[in-house]
Amino acid sequence: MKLFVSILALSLSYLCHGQSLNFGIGYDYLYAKQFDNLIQTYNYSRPFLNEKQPLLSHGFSSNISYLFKSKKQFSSGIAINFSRTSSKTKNDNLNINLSFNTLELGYLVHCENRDKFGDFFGELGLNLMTGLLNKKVNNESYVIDDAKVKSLHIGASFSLTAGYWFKLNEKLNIAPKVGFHYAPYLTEGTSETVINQTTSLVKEQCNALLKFDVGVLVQIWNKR
Amino acid sequence: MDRRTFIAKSLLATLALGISPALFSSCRKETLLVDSNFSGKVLIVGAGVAGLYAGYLLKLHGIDFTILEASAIVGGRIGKRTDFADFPIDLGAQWLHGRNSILGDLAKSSKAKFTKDNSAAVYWFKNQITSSIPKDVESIIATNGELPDISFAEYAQQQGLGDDYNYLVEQIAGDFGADSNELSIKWTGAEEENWNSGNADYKFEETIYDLIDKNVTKTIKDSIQLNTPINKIEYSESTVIVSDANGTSYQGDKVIITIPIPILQEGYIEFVPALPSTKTGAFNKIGMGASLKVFLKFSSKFYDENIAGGEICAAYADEIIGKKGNDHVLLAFVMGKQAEYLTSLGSDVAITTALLGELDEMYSGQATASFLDAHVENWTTKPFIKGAYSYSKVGIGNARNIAAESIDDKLFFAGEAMNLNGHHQTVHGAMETGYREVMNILQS
Ligand SMILES: Cc1cc2nc3c(=O)[nH]c(=O)nc-3n(C[C@H](O)[C@H](O)[C@H](O)COP(=O)(O)OP(=O)(O)OC[C@H]3O[C@@H](n4cnc5c(N)ncnc54)[C@H](O)[C@@H]3O)c2cc1C
Repeated sequence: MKLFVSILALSLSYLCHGQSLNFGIGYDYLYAKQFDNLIQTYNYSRPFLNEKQPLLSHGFSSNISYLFKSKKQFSSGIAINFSRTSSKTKNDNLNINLSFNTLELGYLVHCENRDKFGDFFGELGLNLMTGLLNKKVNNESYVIDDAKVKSLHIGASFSLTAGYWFKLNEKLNIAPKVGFHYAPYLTEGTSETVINQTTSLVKEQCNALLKFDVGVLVQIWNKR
Repeated sequence: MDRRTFIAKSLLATLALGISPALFSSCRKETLLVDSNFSGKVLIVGAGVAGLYAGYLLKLHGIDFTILEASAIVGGRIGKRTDFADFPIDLGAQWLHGRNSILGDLAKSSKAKFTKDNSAAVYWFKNQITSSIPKDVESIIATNGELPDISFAEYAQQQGLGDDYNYLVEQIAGDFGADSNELSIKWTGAEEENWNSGNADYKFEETIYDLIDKNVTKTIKDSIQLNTPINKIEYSESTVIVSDANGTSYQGDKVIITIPIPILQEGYIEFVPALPSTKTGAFNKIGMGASLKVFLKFSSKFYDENIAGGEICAAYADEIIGKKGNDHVLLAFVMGKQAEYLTSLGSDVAITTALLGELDEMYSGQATASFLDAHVENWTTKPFIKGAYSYSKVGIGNARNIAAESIDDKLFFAGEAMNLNGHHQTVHGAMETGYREVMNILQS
């Protein structure tokens, strides 16, 4: 719902004043050392489970950005990025589904210099990041004493995206893109409880997170 | 560079970047310690749950180990008897305290049958059985905010729980394995906050012993040596020499010590060189009270499912809950100073008579009239256990953390008392310390 309202607000503002609206979708690769430690400890400590819990690595992302009007090679804008990474296992009586959703809301600097780089572009983002780690056990939410247990993480991230525009028509461009998102610190949350069912057994803490994505970006121009 | 070459190159670069996560992914292992280069020998002192679970993991990692157990049986504070009633009884641990734990996972995945213990409680209050009492005793431990480091009994008094509540307070303290005058309200409260396996209790149709036996002990039974009371550990050289009371020595590179805290406190094991005084001081700050379980078999069921607040035994529980059978067995779960008192009576007959006397008072003589048999399992008099489970004494501070620290990368401490995440006193807490110390060894 919140996402929908944000999309609506962005679209409206685009129609009123805007310059370009970009929609992206892609494959996401997550590397969060803390989650790795927890899942590795979980797998190692429970050899009685036939299927090991895969690390939280693969997922998808989608993003929308809105760039303000600018005549220079740099334009700026705002962006929302949503990504979801999941990990599933099927064991007798114990099917575990972990998912980690992140939402980034940020300020974007877009760089395009036709003379120097042609249709190549780059974007640098500074974002507020929230992440929610969820668990389902046998298709039901993970519950301790009737309360759903999730782990919420908050922090800041930098993102760097590069791509190359292919012009489809006057108003529409499409670009393959690659991007990195790096969150140097995310609050700890209760991920150890969610994943390993302990509170302070897993010693090594590393609350950074790195995401890599490859995908496509569609750009709609209002006025060029 | 012309436009075409540029496009081709950027597509190639995108593809390469697309493949790189897959390559990176293959470097990330799903589980810990697959590439540990530890290849030495591990000695485990004690074949309770912590020692057994540590051995089970070492076996799966292909590491040479031996479990040295003082007594003639495996399991430590878990045990069972199958010929007392028409269902098996748990002589030690019997409840799965919350199913969100490693023990819960083992139970679920091995399809062990367990059900939630929804049994209702009545209270022995002002010399009568009543289904409710004016003040809720249990809630005092859940009081939010900073609690003073005073005993549970003192805090209960401060909260206005007068003498009428003495044995109800004792029952709650008994759940923590303690005498209410010793148990710290502050540290117990803090540890409760760490507890994350759930508050509901579950009971197994079989026993906890069966669950561990079938899934853990069976796989390592050849590596367990019984009747081997360890009384000396020399760790000054590169290998550790462990000796037993029969004069036999064993050599290992690492030792995991899983024995109950009273055995560590009394210095039954001589460490050479002596353990640092901070370490022994930390052992002494951890409490472990007396404990016994008495199973009373009757010809009829005259009693309630749970009776709290008795002067001789503050917690009785109907043993049939969660089991399949027809026999009427009432468990007297006796802890702390009540267990000390019953133990001081000197014989099983005297203990049984005292309990029957109390039940007669509660249920108008029906206990003695329908009494058939009793089994007394006294954990306090077992020479290598000596009590119930560890509790946090007034002033414990961070003693558990110090007690659980390894020494010289050779001595590793496990067992329920060494659990640092609020799960001490439990079977799953013991399992957690077992795997934690194997992890520490293989990562050392
Ligand atoms: C009456 C009672 C009821 C309980 N109820 C529950 C319950 O319902 N649910 C729950 O989760 N937990 C319960 N517990 C707690 C649970 O049983 C323990 O936390 C757990 O079993 C402890 O395992 P451990 O491996 O740490 O220690 P132990 O099981 O005590 O194992 C230690 C082993 O070391 C051996 N040993 C001692 N000294 C030496 C030596 N010098 N040399 C060699 N070996 C030695 C001992 O013989 C023993 O076998 C209960 C405990 C008791 C006593």
